[in-house]
Amino acid sequence: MTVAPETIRSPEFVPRATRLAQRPVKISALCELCHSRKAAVKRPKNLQKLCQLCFFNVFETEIHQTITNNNLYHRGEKLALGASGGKDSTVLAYVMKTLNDRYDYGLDLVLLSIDEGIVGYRDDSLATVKRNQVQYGLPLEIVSYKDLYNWTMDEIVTCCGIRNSCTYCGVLRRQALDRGALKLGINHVVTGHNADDMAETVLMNILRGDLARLEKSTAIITESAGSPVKRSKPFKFTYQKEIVLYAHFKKLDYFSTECTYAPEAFRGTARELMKQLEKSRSSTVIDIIYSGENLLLQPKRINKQKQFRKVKTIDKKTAENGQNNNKNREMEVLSDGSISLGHDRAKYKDGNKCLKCGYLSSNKICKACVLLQTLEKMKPKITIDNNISTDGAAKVLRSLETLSF
Amino acid sequence: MKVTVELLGGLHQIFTFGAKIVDVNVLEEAELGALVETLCLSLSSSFSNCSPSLADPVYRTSLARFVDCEHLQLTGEYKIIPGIMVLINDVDWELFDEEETVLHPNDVITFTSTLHGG
Ligand SMILES: [Zn+2]
Ligand SMILES: [Zn+2]
Repeated sequence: MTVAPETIRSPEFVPRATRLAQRPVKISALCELCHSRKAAVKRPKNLQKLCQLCFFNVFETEIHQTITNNNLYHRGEKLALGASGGKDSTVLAYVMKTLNDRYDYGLDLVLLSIDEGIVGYRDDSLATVKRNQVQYGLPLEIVSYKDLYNWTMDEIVTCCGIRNSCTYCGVLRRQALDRGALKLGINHVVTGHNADDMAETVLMNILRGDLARLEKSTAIITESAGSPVKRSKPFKFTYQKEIVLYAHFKKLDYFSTECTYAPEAFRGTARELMKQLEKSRSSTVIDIIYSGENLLLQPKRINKQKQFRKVKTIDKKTAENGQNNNKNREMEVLSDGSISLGHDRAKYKDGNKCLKCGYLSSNKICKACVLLQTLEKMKPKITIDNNISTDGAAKVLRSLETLSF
Repeated sequence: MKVTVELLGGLHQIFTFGAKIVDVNVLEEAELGALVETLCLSLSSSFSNCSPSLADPVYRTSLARFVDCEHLQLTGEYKIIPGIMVLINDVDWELFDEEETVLHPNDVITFTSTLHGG
């Protein structure tokens, strides 16, 4: 069977509302709450059928309850809302603004956006955030990688290629919001992480045997001793599907593209597994989060109980040449994913500061600084090797990647 | 009969026609599954070798962003992957019969990716 070329074509311009008004009425159930309007949503959480208005109401009220039940914020607090222009953060900004006004939380909200410095990629999403700033009347602060790390993502990609740059991107991005907030004198970052994200992380940690990370991954608010920045996730119990539906029905202005840095393969598999489980058990997502919250590690006994996993560094050359003078050949991966270089591991626990940048770290030198040090070493070689401008390097490399895909 | 398809959340990038909104001709009383098949076949017709098979990794990779390729191989049915949300005239397709929903002229079918991009 072939498709005739005229089967799919661009429509003559008819406004969306008109198109929707033209179509015949399909029979669907009535809303289970108001019993008067046509249902538009089947909630993944409990399969309840709701009309648009009742859905908005339930969606917002549940988030309000999450915030008040957990005492996430206090009057007068200044919050940095992580803003990427994507759907989660756009809904976050809209809902936080709405609830702050409706229930008079008395919060001082600021949109905080990180500019990784990828020419031609961030432009569109930053433009979205700038429109959100106007639409929601919230102040916007943009902090760049250049400000924070003195490197743009384009420069990093030029230096070490797109594959390796994913490692950098992950580590640097995780810290960027915290560092950005500190720069602005704000010590509470709010992110749009949702229930699906959280269940996925719990599943991954369990499948990897990384139970030490469970506690942190299910916390609705994280506060480490000595850390100046709190993090909270008011969407902890909010399903991804409902966030997308909410943004769609409210016609929120968000930027959507396929993620530039595809998720690591393992996360992708965990996500698929979860989606499959969800098909046969709708409460899967909440169940996984609940399990994650209640799986508690026994308190560690000193030394003996502690498990260390030794991993070889990626430094293959050193290994191949049989050189064993490299002190970093074996690194210890700690439970929080950071790398320990020194031997005084007992001394460097949560609450210590990086000797280089002063940022909270469980090691002498934080992971970001370790990566940046490696980059600095590679830099001189690169400037001789290729003289091309680094502007847009990430984008060009990515386009090349898709071509060869 | 004519129905309108909206491809949101970056989904339009999968298809060669590139547009986010397209009109598609389907048979009278076609089910949504048939529409999905038409969209997928338009993807295949853009390949130079006239009938790409699922064994072709490039074709399969594109297709896998929209439909369940393993299911297609086993049953010949086009089934939307779980990460995509479908609305028919702005109503969740789970309130109808999903792929088996019978379409009417001028229906607006919205596909949007729920994955990616916080
Ligand atoms: Zn209702
Ligand atoms: Zn540091």
